[in-house]
Amino acid sequence: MRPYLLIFPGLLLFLFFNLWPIVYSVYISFTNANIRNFPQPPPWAPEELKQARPPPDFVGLANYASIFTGPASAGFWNAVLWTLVFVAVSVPAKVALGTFIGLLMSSEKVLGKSAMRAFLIVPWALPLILSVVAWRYVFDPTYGVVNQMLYSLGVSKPPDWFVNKDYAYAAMVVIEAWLAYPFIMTVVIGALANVPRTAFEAAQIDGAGRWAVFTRITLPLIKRPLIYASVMTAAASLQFFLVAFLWNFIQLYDRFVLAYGYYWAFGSPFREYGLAAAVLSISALVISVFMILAIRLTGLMRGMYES
Amino acid sequence: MFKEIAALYTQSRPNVQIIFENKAPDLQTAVLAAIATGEKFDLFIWAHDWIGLMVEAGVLKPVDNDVADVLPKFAVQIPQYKGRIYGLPLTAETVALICNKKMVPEPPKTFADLAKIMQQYNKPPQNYGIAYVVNPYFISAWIHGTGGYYFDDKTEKQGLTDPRSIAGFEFFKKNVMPYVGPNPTDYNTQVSLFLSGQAPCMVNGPWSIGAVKKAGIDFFVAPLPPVNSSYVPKPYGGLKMFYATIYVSKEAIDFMKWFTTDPQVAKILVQKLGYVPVIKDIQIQDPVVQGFYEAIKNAYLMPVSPKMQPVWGAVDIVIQNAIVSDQKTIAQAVHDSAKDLCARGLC
Repeated sequence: MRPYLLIFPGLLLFLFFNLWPIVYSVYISFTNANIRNFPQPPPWAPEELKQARPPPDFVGLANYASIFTGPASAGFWNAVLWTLVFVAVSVPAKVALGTFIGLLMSSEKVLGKSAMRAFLIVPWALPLILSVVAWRYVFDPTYGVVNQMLYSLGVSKPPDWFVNKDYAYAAMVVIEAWLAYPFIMTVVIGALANVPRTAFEAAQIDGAGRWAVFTRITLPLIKRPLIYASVMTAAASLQFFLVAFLWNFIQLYDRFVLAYGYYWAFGSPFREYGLAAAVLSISALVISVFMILAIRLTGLMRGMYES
Repeated sequence: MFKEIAALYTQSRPNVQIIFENKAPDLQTAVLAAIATGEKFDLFIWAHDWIGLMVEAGVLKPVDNDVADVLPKFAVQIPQYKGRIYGLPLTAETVALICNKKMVPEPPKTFADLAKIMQQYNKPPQNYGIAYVVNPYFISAWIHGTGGYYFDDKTEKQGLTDPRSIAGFEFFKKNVMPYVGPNPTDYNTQVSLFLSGQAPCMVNGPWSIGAVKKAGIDFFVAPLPPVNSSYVPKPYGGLKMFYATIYVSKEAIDFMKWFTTDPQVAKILVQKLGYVPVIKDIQIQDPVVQGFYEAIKNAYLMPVSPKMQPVWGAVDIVIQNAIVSDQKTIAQAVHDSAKDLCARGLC
């Protein structure tokens, strides 16, 4: 009994801060909560306010039905599809970039590694809003570095990276890769630090080329941390929202699941919180299933509880 | 400034205390959260287009009877929602033509005059014909001018697919858009084009005048010029107003009435803040305020229905897809936007 008593305060806090919001969100998703009735006035509020704001009605599965079969459904599946495309494109880009830089930063031939590592980690440390502002300058259709380069390469009408839907989406992939490579890089550097140098020396003596060393020695030895990092970063791609929101929401809202839910729920006259909660619940479910599958399929947790 | 004006009021009324609070950056959320959780305050100030939403959310109290005696003092129609009054306006805002006198000595009388000016100065990439923020609010004048509309406040229906609206969008795209500087949807880029002298004129509201004066530009303000006698641009206008919350006290209503109708207050607002007055019998000496005052006469008050909210986004998509870029034709874009609005219950 004693151990349970000891963990009780912690457990209570955990339940309150982690479980309660989830349960409450799911509850909201079964109601018609919106700006007119949510949040509810406190008991001491005057009678007229209580009358003006009647409590939300329980609407059963209506919010879920409107997402899957209602007018929002076509756009929803479209957004799911584009989110999966985003995962499929951005995750390999992030992992490749992060691994490449991680390998460079672990090489003995590179000078000033610690200083460079500090700079390379900057995207991770910067507040997102600042990064987006910086990237807006880079992709500015007229004055931006990207289009200036395209001009000098002879492109007379370079694309508008904000207003054109597909180019805006492409910019999202670039920005996400830039935002997430420091994470992958850090994991790779950490993993490589634990790999004994003798393995590489032996391979070199046996006459293995650079590619062979990478695929036969380095990769297998850092495989597990790298898979872990990939799964984590894939989850981040599935939840991609804020950059698109700040970039040009009106073009990108139907390319990302969370953005679509936000648009549909808050772009309505009365901010449909119930509908928003339903979209979030579905997204949370999808991401959970993805994580469980990824962990199972990659054997990430295998051996963890065996010793 | 508001605090100083309030001090004038409390001087003679020692039993009244007025506290101002700045709830930037998101007043809407702040007001809704405060009211819903039972926090009490009397009044808040914002443009009139929130009335519908705020009434539906149970935030406001009708004050028709309390303010009936001062209504004749106003030169504008008092914003209403479903026939009730929920506050009083203190100034009007809309967009007008602001031109650099060095390049344009006299206000253009007709759109043809403006077109000549735009053509004359349009030498990209150094100079452009006009600085114009291409967004739903700023270009609304040309859509309303043809008899088109984004949204009808009475029927609560969108009007994007109305042939007159399409004609308005097309007029703007054909006759104004070619002379607009780079990054047409970006406010800062457009304003800086005018401030740096790279564009002879800009279309903007009273809120931009401070920056123009600071840049040391000699300028005038005039209404957007008419295309012909039947096509007069009618920009969306907003009335900045006091909203009376459900907690509003008798004293607060009296203060609101005094603030919005006292000629001395109006004079201070005109002189110190460049506010365009909304009450009768006010002498305006300032030519800038006079320019906006003339522009207001053509303005079309923004809808008060909460159903307008999704329409802003829908018009923005039309602008991005068919006016500042050629991803769709205007007819296609308005059709797609209307379909999207319809799916959300706004047919």
